[in-house]
Amino acid sequence: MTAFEPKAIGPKSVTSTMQMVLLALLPGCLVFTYQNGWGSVINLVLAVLSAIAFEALALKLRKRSVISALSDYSAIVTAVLIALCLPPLLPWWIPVLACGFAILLAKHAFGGIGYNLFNPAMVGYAIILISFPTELSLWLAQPDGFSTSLNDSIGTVFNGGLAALPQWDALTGATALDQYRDLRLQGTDTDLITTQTQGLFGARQSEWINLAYLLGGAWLLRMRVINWHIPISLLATLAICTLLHNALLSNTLSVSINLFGGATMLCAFFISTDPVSAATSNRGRIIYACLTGFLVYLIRSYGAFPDGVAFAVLLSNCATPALDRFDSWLSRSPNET
Amino acid sequence: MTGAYKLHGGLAFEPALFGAIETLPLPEHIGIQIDRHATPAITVGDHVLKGQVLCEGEPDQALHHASVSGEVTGISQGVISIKSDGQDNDFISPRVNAPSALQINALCKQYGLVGLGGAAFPVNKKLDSIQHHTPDTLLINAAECDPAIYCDEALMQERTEDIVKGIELALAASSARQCIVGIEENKTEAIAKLLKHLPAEIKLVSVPALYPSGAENTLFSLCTGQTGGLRKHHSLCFNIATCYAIYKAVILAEPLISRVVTVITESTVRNFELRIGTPITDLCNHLSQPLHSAITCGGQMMGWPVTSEQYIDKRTNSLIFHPPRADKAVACIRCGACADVCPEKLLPQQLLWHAKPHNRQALLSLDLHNCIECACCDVVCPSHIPLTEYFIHAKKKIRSDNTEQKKAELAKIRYEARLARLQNQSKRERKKLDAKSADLSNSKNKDQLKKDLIAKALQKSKSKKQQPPEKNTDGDRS
Ligand code: SF4
Ligand code: SF4
Repeated sequence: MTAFEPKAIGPKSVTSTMQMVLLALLPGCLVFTYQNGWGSVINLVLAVLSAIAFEALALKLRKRSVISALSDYSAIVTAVLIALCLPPLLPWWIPVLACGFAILLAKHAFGGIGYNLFNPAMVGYAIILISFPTELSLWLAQPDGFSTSLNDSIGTVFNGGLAALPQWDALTGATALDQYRDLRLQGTDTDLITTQTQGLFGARQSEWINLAYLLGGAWLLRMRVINWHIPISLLATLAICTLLHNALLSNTLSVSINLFGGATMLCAFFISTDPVSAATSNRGRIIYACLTGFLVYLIRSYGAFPDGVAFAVLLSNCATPALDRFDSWLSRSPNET
Repeated sequence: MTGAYKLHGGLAFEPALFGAIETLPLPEHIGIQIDRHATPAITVGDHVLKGQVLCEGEPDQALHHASVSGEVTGISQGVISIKSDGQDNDFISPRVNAPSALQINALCKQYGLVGLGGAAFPVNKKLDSIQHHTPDTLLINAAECDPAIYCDEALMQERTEDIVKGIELALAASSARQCIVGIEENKTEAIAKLLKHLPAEIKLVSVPALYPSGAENTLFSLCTGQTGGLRKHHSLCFNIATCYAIYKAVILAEPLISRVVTVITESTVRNFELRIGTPITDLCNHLSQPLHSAITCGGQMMGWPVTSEQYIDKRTNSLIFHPPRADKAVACIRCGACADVCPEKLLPQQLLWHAKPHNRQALLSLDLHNCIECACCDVVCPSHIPLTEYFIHAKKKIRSDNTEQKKAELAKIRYEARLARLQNQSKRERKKLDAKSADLSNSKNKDQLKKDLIAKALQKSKSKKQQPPEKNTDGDRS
């Protein structure tokens, strides 16, 4: 019965929330596919199609209305987030598997949208990252810019992926974070690390995609799809931890590489802002995001994985029920017992 | 003019444009809704004058008056129908000059005044409720209670002087220590006019133009910075339209038989001064709206559905001719939008989580009782969950559980008292029995017992024979 619509409120439905998130991912998708070529386009298509199929299957099994639930676009957002974490020219079944784990295990086994404890995209990605670490570390050395033809790409994807090609070694190169991890583990001089991985304003190559995510994220903030609490606290914690580490301990990644490298911006604006698996109050969200930022810093500086985003998010997800309880406890009125 | 304290959350709306207050032609017939327990003071066939009392109210209910002159054609299901005679003759009541506080109170009762903000609580009852101590603040609610209601603003723009007189009367009747008028900051014309006429001792506070600034407890904390509600701070609140009605009753000796109603259709926002009892059908015809259209009374946020067969009553502050929007509710995605807008700083999402299984303890500790049912959370929820409905329901359940609990406690006390009484009784009986059985076991055998009994009986009869006079005196004494 709304005669007048209120001003300055967020999206009016779950569907439009998800649509706006997809729209905000568009610049990132463009940079990503430019850098990684047809291989990543194929990843995106495979992920989206399989996510829709898995979602429909799960809804059918759970005897829910397939069309109305599919139309909330949440499965597509999950699929796109997964595809944006994957290197190009993977064997076709890896993205499909990731979406299967994400939709069936992380989402519907917990009760569907609204009830999942963990971020589905990160569950899917983390499982295949642990299972196929080699395949998932093969990124192209140079921006592809669609120079590999679509036909060749499809051929590679359906014949065992990049790793099965005889010349794969020549094509691939380590990402900035990979390089840093390797040098760190070898005990190389830290100055060298910085000169080898520093780009214009962030990590070499991945700074551009991070910039694109930042733009999309800023738009989401402006449209009130997300609140500032999570991205700002996450980025600030990551920056402060890095600064402190550099000042007090040894040299680690520079602040600019940490912020504009790996999946930092994707995590800050698109992954950890997933409302379902984040804490629910603004106070809880600040703590949640600080925790994620701190974990990203820890994993990148000390861990065995070059980028820690997926694990940092999943670990923080574990903490959300506790954070929610803590928060209701804090906001309890003093005169009630 | 002073600034206000800050409101958490709330919703901003674009204010609508509206014209001057309009009227409808004299209705052919009217229907006055009377309270269920009220006894009609007239019978079918009577001729009544405009302003004549129609029913003897219960002590805590307001009186009702005829809003046209004419013939009473029916009294059924709590509605008194009157067919207008087209004359509109007034029932003349004497005016009271310079009335005292008590007289104002009595006049409010005599002329059937109720709060016109929506709750329709009798004005005299409200004044009575603060009789035993001087109220701290008299708050005048000049903020609209709903984004789709403009009747108070229109009234303030057109009848400022009368309203100010009404405010002064209300202040005199309540003898409050201070009087504050709270108004939304974007009602610039009304603010300017009020400032021109208000006496210096009455403070005007402009509050943020956000829904629900016009909810009385919210307005109170915005104007005074005091939280916990009017009642906690011995304060009371009158709506601006109520003040206008007080002016009309006390100065003009006019009962409450009309009110300003905001009428919103797809394309227009208009204000009508309507007689209480005007059939909504008349309005439909006047606005050329279909009779079966979906009509919402009481605003777009907290309103309720009405049909065109109903009549304008004292609570009708607005009518919206607008099809209701039916969005299907889906699962909560924990986005937190509801908590961002909640003016009471509650966590509606958490409340919902506990309201569904009715987890009483959690609901209480999350301050469900502070929810003002403003429906801000509903409006922003992307999952279209009717949160407020859940909360109203949960609050009702808690209230009824409380009374149940009290009843149960009383019953328990009664039960325990009865148990104790019975126990005492049975104890006494047991003692007697014990004594008897002790006697029995003491006796060696039946023969002995018999002999004893016989001996006793003999002795008794002997003593009776020996001392008959003593017995008599005993009897006299007793
Ligand atoms: S209805 Fe209650 S919970 Fe919802 S916004 Fe209003 S006060 Fe808060
Ligand atoms: S606004 Fe609706 S979907 Fe969002 S947290 Fe509140 S109840 Fe859940």
